[in-house]
Amino acid sequence: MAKQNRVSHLHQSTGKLLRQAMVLGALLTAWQLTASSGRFPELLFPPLTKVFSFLLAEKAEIWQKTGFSLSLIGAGLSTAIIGAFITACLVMIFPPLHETVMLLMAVMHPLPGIALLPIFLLWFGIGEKSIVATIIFSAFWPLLANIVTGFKTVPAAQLEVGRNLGLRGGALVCLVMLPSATPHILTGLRVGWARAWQSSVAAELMYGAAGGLGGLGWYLYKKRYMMETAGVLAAMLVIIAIGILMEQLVFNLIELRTIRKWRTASD
Amino acid sequence: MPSVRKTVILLLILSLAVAGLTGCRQAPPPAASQNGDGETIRIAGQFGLVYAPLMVAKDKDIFAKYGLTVEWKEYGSGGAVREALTSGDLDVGFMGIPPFLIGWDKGVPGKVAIGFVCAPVSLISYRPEITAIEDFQSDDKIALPSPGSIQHILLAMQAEKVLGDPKALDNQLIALPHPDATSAMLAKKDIDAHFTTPPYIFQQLSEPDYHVVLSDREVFGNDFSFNVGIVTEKYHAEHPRGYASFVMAINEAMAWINENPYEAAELLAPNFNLDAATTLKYMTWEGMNYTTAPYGLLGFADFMQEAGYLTKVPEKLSDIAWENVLAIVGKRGGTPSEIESLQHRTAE
Amino acid sequence: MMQPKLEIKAVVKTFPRAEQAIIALDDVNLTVNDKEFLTVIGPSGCGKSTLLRCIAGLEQSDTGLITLNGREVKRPGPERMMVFQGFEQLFPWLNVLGNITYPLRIARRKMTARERLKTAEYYLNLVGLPDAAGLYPYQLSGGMKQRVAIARALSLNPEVLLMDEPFGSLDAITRNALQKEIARIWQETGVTIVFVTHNLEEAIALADRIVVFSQGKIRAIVSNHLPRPRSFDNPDFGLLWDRLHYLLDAGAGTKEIRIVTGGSTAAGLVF
Repeated sequence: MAKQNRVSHLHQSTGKLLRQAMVLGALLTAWQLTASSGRFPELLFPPLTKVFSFLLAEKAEIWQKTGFSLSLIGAGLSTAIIGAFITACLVMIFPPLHETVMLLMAVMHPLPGIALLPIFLLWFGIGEKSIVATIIFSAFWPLLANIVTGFKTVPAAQLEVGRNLGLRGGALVCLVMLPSATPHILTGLRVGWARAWQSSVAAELMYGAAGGLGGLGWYLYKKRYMMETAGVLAAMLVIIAIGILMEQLVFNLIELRTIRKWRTASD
Repeated sequence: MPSVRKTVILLLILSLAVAGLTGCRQAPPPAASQNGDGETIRIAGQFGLVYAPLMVAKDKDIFAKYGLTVEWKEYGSGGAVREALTSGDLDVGFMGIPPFLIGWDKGVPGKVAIGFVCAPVSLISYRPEITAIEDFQSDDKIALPSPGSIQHILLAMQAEKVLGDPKALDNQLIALPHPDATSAMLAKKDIDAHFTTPPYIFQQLSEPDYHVVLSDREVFGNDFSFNVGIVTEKYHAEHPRGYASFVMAINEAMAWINENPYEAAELLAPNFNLDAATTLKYMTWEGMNYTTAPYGLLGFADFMQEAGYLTKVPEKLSDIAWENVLAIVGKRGGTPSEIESLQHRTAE
Repeated sequence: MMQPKLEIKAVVKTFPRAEQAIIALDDVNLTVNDKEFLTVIGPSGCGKSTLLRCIAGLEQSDTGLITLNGREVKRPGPERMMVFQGFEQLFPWLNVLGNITYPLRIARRKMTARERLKTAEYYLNLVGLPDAAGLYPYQLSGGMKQRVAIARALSLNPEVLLMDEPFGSLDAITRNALQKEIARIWQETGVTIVFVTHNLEEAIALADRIVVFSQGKIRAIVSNHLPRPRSFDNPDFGLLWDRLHYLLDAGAGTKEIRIVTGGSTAAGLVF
């Protein structure tokens, strides 16, 4: 019975991938047609061919800058994840903390990390630290919100089984709440990643180089000032591609191995 | 299956969108005002010591004397001004010659309508051991306004001359607006040097330890226009009277500044949060020159093309400048005149 | 005399509410003997579940004492394993095997992985699910889920098995089947069971003694000597049913009452 499920799942995912590819292909064709029609100057609307040749010509620099951006996100996101987990655990173990944290969240969550960048620049100076701080701030709140929701919506019966086994406090949180909250945690990770990625690029766009080499945002910034619209679009394509890769390779895989396997979330 | 149907519908919508996009034309720019008398012009309002003539023209409403109604527009950066000129959102913008050339190379439809201000541009540091750009270590940070700015190009020119590679210092650059970089410099935090312009040069140099590492004279050899006024081809073609009014208004503002420096300083001082005496000092500093004569229009192009910032260079001045500019430069029979030579770079 | 397994002495538990506190347990005294199958019956809201939860340590009584094998118990622990009514008590992120081995890892740290596996397999067999090890909870029927829950509880070798209306969410046929199962399991393992239900037939079919509970008090304790396996055909079943029904309806009297029925002759009713 499990094997049949796996086969039909494969069919579903292939079909879905095909459909996505079709839509993407249509969008790209639409782009190329519009660009080659000549209605818009090349500066405003470069043809896809130019964008791709740009990608190929500058692939070394794009590769390097992408790696740099990803390393910053790796540092920032992992800090945010660990911080969010610890805070969520503490909130569940010590109920008085809950109100304080929820109040903080109500104030901080709506703030885009970018808005705090000037303050971070004052505190941490110009450079990687400020960008990483922005990333951490952007990712922390959605992560925390989702993890806490996940913890709070664990069915009471499972918690009682946990307590029945003698679990309390931190052990109860880690051994019962955590696995049970997987769907919410996954959502939190998805949102946290998206916000981290966006805020890292946006921060570099706002304030130039992050570090000596800079990341994709810095690349976009340079291309803009050199009026290389094709380069700007090439960078955007890379940003989109990474987003898609992250989703398909990482999150989708996690989802398949966990909540799809356990059927704990509605499809 | 419903998902196939959804995809087909999506594709239909997409094709309609494409058809719409390829079929629509760009919106025409706002027409000249209804009465045949006055014209309208859209200028990017820019602010600073190096935009004094524009500020004077605005404050004293000199444009009105020539029957010109100005629609002032605000943009966040020089890059944004360039983009606005391209998209037809703007008729006049001021910028440095290198950024203009980059835009011209990429097809921004505009040319130089007036020279504007010559100003000292210097690389300043507070670190005593840095006396020339060869002294920079790989983790020293240099601040400048943006990639492709005049500061960036001057630095690249010097880097090519003494370090052999115009991009040698590119990894140490940080793009910062002048005020932020000045704060960082004065706090001696985060950056080691700042390639900057008046009044920030003067502010920093009046502190002990702050010294010039590289001056524009050293790199370029002669004066060059720090910024120039660019007018779009469309406006120039469709509004000749508006164009002429604009040029005359700026000329008059400039003449007034040069003939009445004290009054000019008093008029502009409140805008800069300085007292009139300091404003006057800054405006008459060695090297500051408010003039519509162009300098160095062609001096950057060859270098920029060799270094890869441009794909083509202007073959003649009329490629990048309008008639009144060409008239100022002239064309001497025989050897070129001084002012013709001054469009090029004398330092090598 | 053998020490009773569980002793509940003078336990009082109130729940504070807006207008008037609810007295869930009003000076309850009860002993549970080793290896006995005790059921607690009563209408909804009478406090029987609260009593069970106090024994389990999931609730704390206000006053009174609960001892297990002579030692006081307050906090929850695996020696008093509970099986709940709902279907959400299994961990959805683990398959059936995992649902048994995971608690073993938590509560019996000294067991090796192989021992855990063997134990899990043994108890899955015991509850009649030898082939279900790899299934996930979403793939199980209600009856199967409850069996797994029972296997999980038993695998921890508890001193007493607490069951809170475990078959209440099942259809009548499955319920019947599981009643037979739990009776068989009890006879095979000899574990002490305290079983809460509001279903009289269930109580009579399963229990050695039946505690009639209402409004926070024990109204009567009825010994059940019907021979096993029990069936409706036995006329004493009906008699006992009548007695219990009467006691439930009456809801009066505070003395502990013993009603003995046996054989086919009517016995005395003592009030």
